Amino acid sequence: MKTEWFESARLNEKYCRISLPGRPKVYVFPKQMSNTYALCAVRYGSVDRSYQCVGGKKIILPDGIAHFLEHKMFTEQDGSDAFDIFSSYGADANAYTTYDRTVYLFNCTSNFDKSFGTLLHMVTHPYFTKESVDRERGIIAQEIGMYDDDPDAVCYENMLATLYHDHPVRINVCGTVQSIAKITPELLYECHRTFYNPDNMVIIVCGQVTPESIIDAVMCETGWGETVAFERCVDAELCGPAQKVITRKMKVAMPLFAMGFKENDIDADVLSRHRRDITASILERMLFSTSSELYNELYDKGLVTSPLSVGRAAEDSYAFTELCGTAKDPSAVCEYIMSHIRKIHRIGLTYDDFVRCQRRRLGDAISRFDSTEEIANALIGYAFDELDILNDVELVESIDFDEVKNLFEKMYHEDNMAVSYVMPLK
Amino acid sequence: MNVLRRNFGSSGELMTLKTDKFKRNILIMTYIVPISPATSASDVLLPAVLLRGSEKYPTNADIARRCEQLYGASLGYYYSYLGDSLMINIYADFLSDRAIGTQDEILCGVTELMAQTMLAPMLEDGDLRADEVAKAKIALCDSIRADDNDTAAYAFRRCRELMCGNDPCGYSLSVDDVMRVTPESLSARYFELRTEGHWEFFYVGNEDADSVAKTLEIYFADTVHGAPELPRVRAVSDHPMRSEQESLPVTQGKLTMGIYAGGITMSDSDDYYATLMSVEIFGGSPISKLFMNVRERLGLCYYCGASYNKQKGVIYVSAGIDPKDREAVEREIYAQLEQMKQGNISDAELHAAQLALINSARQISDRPYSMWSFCNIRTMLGVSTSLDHHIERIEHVTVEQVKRVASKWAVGDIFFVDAEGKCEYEN
Repeated sequence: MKTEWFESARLNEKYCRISLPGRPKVYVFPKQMSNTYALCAVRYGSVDRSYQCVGGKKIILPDGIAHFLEHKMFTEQDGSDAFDIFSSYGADANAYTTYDRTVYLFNCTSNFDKSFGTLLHMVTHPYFTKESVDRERGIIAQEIGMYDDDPDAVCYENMLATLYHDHPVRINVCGTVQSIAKITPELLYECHRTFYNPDNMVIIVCGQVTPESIIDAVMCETGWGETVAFERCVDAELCGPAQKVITRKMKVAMPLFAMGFKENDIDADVLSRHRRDITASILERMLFSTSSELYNELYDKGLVTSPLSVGRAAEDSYAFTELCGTAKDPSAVCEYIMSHIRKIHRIGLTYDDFVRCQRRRLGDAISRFDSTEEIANALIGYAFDELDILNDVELVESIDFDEVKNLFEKMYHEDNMAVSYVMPLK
Repeated sequence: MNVLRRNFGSSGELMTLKTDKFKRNILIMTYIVPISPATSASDVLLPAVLLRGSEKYPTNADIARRCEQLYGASLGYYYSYLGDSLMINIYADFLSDRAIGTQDEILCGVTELMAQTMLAPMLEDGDLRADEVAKAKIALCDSIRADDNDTAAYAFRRCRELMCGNDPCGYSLSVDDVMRVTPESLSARYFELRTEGHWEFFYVGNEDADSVAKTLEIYFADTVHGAPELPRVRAVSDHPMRSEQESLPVTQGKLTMGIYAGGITMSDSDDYYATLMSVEIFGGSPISKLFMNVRERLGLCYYCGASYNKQKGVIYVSAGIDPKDREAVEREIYAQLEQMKQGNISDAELHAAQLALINSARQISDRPYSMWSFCNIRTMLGVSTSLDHHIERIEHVTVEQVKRVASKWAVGDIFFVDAEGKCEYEN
């Protein structure tokens, strides 16, 4: 067993990483809050649609299986539901699946040990029957239907489908009604055996806990699987967008748009990728926030009436920035944004904007430690990449204007941009 | 939680909750006005216009840039219904000076910015700027239209309008009402609120009350405060059940059912705490009767749950369903409602609901906005702000009490969005 402490006097925060034999890495972030938040994260998301074990053949999985597995992990062998058990201890439990991870979590203000034991047991003891898998198919089909009616979700997913030719990030996390029809208990067991192995998971606890109590619980759970050596068969897609524009007509009162900027130079080094992530967040604010010249011009011209929503996702096989909003004439907005980007390429970014936005980013890096939920969920990415979350304040301060300018030159171009619109039916 | 109430200046009112837990603090300015088709559009529009610029910070960009200089402070507003009243909140959310290592820089900075926007707006010939009013009107109308993009929220709104149709809170802000506002009428409303309105401040953070009051005195000393407007809390009036539906080109049907909660609204009564428990058991969690039966046992939906409007005494059941299952879903909701009325509640259900509500209550002290929300509304309604008291009352609710309050529940109005099936075109 090895325990490493990470500490920041400036932030007045510390946490530890514990390595235990045959167990996932454990992160304990003590925090004087009324609630304690615990999660178990599996590095298995919807983009992992194929893999290959050492010496084995390539396995292709039905789309949506990681999410389906997440739903089914709540069923216990005796037929009970883990939600019932958490509830009987007063814990609020949930789970979610994204492109790159599956996360099981709970928060509580009492009976932590019992709930934590339930979490560990749940993720290590899969139990699937044909009947329960069939019933879940109906529930997930309703979930898919719900997202199909959600114009924001449709606009965002179509944007990804235009940016990417083949990369699985272009496919809905839930899969489709057709793809989930192919999911069987046997396939679910196989995915659990492969991906839910200790080397591919982390456990994070934030709240009024001590590392000792967490170590005991993790060691007491004996159901951890064997380490499985496998390779993910997801290649980075380093080329331009699959399509420039996609338009869908739906029942909406206001049209929506989502512009995507695809990145084709993904760094293999996690620290470089993280630095780029922070640099990109400063750049986004300089370009698109409510203080930016662009946003205020769009507002003054009546092209947009609410702030633009900006986000970036970057993993080892994909990276993109999305810019979303609602507008009466979304194509005019997107054209205006592109003309502004062209202007910035000509005249350059402004140093004053950089200083202010860097200061704001520094504020974000400091204030993220107010919530056990936010800390635990933010730590997942850092834990997967073995980075220290407490270093971000210094990292933000170390970024200089030239880095931001260089990144702008790389990231924002017409030829790596695609746009998705959702327009009213009539 | 111990809310400290004190005055500043000649008649300013400040409530503070001192806590060292957080790096981010909040300062919220609240005023309450009656909901009325004649004034609500102006009341909602006003903060949007004021936050567009002031004498010292003439443009929205100037305000946003000042926020960035204050390490990412945010200044904004939101409104909500509180019974038959409209509550307008202007909020500032900011890092504490202690977290940054500065002294009096951040709290003073955000208070000055808030005071500038509320007290020193940019005027043209004595009125709010016509171009900013026009743009804010368009923005609010767009936001009203965009709200209807969410069919679940649309079904909920329509059901609320039916359930509360005879009360002020049955009103929903409309594009027509917003477009009727003029720079002159909005300016008149602003000056009326400046002289006759009652503005209250609430601070949650690590500064003590004296220090916050001293800062407010500097920037809000001139504010004149009228008589307090108390929230109008009154249970919705009973009327014959109505069921309406609308067909829309969507995939999933959305059902919202309004239920009268026997006239029980927020108070310190046994019935109120029993109603909180009843709603939790009925449809408040993934182990509630609705979730366990409509979703888990029958597999009829992805979600089915209940929420309680504590100021109007209405419970809303919402579900996203396949339209062909509507009858089966309604039948099961009625069946579970009957279970509640009969008091067919297991010890495990009661215990789990108690623990869930206690868990939620204890977490209130972990979030500044939750602390404010819990204490602010209760202070206005004269209900205890003690979390221990709240938890103790929940702990003492019995199955008999749950049965007694649930026995008075009656289904009111139902609104259903029928799914025509999606009609879409791609290129």
